[in-house]
Formats: sequence, C-alpha cells, structure tokens
Amino acid sequence: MYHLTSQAFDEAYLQRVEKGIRTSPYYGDSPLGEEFVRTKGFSIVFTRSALEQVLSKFAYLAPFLEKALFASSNAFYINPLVMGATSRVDTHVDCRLLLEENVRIIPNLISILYTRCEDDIQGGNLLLKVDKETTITLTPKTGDLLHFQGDLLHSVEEVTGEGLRVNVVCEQYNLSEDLLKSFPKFAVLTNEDPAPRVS
Amino acid sequence: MEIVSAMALRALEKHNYGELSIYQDLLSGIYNTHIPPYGEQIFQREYFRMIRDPGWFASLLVSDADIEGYSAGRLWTYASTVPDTHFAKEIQRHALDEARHSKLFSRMVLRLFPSLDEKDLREKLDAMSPELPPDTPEASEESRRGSFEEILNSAILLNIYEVKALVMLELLRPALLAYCEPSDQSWGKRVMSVLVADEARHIGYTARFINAAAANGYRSYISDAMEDFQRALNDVSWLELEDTITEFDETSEEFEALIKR
Repeated sequence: MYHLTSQAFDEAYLQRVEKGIRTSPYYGDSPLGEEFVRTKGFSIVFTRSALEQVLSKFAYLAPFLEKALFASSNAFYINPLVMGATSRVDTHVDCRLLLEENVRIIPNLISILYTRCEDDIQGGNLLLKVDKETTITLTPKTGDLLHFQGDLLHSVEEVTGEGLRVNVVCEQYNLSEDLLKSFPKFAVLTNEDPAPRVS
Repeated sequence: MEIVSAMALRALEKHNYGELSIYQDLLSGIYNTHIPPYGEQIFQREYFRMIRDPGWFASLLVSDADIEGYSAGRLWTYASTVPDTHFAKEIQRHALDEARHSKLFSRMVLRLFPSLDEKDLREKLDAMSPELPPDTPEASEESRRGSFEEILNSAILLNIYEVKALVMLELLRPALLAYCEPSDQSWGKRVMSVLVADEARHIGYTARFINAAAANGYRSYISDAMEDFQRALNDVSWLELEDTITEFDETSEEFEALIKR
C-alpha cells in the first residue's frame, strides 16, 4: 500500500525546499479543490519531456524528484502544500481532468516529501483508506518520504496548535501516448490561475 | 505493534480467519523481539530505490515467477507425505495457488514489458510454472511419514514465509501500479488483490494449525521454534538484501559507464 522512508534528506535540503516554496512568486492560497481547507501552495504540472525545464525553474525539487520518480512515469502534478492551524484536507482521491479528451485520470503513485512537521502541531495525520473496513493512519515526521498507490481515498486531519506543516506532493502518472498529448507540457497553477493549459 | 505482524493480523482479520488469539500473541511476540528486515526502514528504502529501475523490476518479476513455481512443486510433493489429510489438502491447495502465482508473475512481465515478449523468455517462463493436476489422490499409507512435531515445524515455517510473502506483496503493490498504463490499472489491482487474498489464506490455514497445537500443550514448543526459524529467516533475508544491493549498484555503475562512453 505504501512505502515510508524516514530521514530521506538532510535538514539543509529540507530548509532549501521550504524556502523555495514559501518565497515563490506563485505561493498563495492553494489552487487545489475544495477538499483543501485553508491550505497554501501552488501546483506545477508537466510531462517528462519538460522535466529539465521544470528543474531549471524549480531547482530545489531536483534531489526529491531524483529519489521519487519512476522511470515509467511520464506526467506529473507537483503540489507544494503548507498547512497551519485549522488547515485540513478532506477525503478525496487525487484526480485530474484532461479537458481535451474529457477524461479523468488518477495517478499511479503519490509521493510526498515532508519538509517540516513541527512537534507543536497536533492533528495532521494522514489517513489512507485502504478498503471499506481498513484505514491506515500515518503520523508524518520531518524528512519522511512517503509513497502510496494513487487510487487510495485519503485525507489529512485538521491541524491544531501553533506551527506549520510543509510538504511537497508529487502525483505520478503513466499515461498512454494519446492521453499524454492532452496533458499540459508545463504549467504553473495558482489560485488566481488554476486552469492547466497545454503549452 | 510493529508493521509485519500488524500486516499479517490485519489480513487475517479482513479474511475472517476466526479466533486465533494464541497465534496472534506468539506472532507479535516473535516480531517484537526479532524484527524482520522487511519490516525495517532500510529494507523498504533500498527496495524502493531498486524497484524504480525497470530492468531490476522486470527481473524481480521473473524471479518471483521462478520461486513461486519451484515452491509449488515442492509443496505438492510434500503434501503427499503428510498424514493429516485435512492439512495435506490445504497444502495441496497452497501448491495450486503457488503454481497460479507463477503464471501471474509471468504474465506481469510480458504485459508490463512487451518489448521482452520473445520466444526464449516465454519458454523460460512456461518452464517455471508447473502444471499441477487439479486433484491428487490422498497419500498412501507407505508414503505418509512425519511425527506431529515435524508437521508442526512445517506449518510454522510455511507460516513465517507466507507472512514475508504478504509483506513483499504489499511493498510490490504501489510499484506495480506505478508501472501500469491506464489500460492496465484495473488488471494490476485485480491481480494484486488475488495474490494478497491467497497469501492471507496461506497464513490463515497454517495459523489455525499452529493455534490449535498451541491450545493443546505445544505453546512453548511453538514459541521456541518460531523464534529459531524467524531468526534464521532474518539472517537469510539480510544476506539476500546485501547481495541484491551490491549486484544492483554494480549493474547500475556498469550501465552508467556504458551511457557515458
């Protein structure tokens, strides 16, 4: 169901990622769906052919992607996500609409790098609903690298207390040639401009 | 509770294997004392690092097809010597499952890596999966052998191996689905569900045997045997991991050198 590696990166790298996210000109209220309550961030959407371009713009993501991406994955949504007091993510399955094809796609794999999970924070557990009866509860820690199968219903409990939870979610897709043509080559989505464009 | 016994017990609960409280205590106790490598962070990290490599992943599937096929043959032969006819039938069914698993792993290789679908590999994969008859006569009086303790040892060994198999499948599942194109996704999920349910059944029937024996005066014997077997399996699993990592890194270095040339 999932793979979890603790202390996957050193502290200096985690700080670099967080700085990159929070000082980005794209940083603001999250452009993700209504399940993401009081969260901040932005989204980067791209195909593998644009990976070099993405890394030249978001160089701090390179070590994370180097460790997380599967060679078979050819399309990606990356969502830096910052959560503070009262933030939560309601139950959902990650799912994207390819407008041209009018097809909804579900990622093959979801990879998450937790760059900051402060001890003062309460709540914020990740709940993975494996089937009707089984829910796995994970309490992330700073430096964790988590991978889980992309079709799982999941949610994040409301965060309480002071402090921040910062993580980067990478949805990995293995799309057929036809679907890949409809996937945006490279776009950055913000709350003001949330629609992906094929460019 | 550590992750390995948690996974096994969750699978038993999900598939309704009934009251197995003595077995559950024994299993948790052993895994708390002798944490298996496949329940450790380093194992999961290295496994994930390697499985992202398509060549390594394909060879893992071939190796799984081979191991399952070999195990099917051994179990089938062993079943014909077990005096307890009910337990012998369970082992035969287990053998049939392993033969089917071998075929499933073979299909995974050819479906996910169509470029490998050549006559040579097909023949090799076919040879790995034994054709077992759907039913086999019970063991004759002459072929039945083994004391109760020997049969119990077999049940314990099978049980801890099947727990390992279940954990390995749970590690494989997200990676396998990462390799599936959209048209293969539901097939991939179905195959994984079948495999996991079968492994749960294998853990279940051996757990029942162990639980019944423990309730009839063998608890201490089982605890000692489980500890010995698990310790040995842990040693083997660590060595396997070490060898696999070395081989993987050497191959990767050779591969990188070839690319740079």
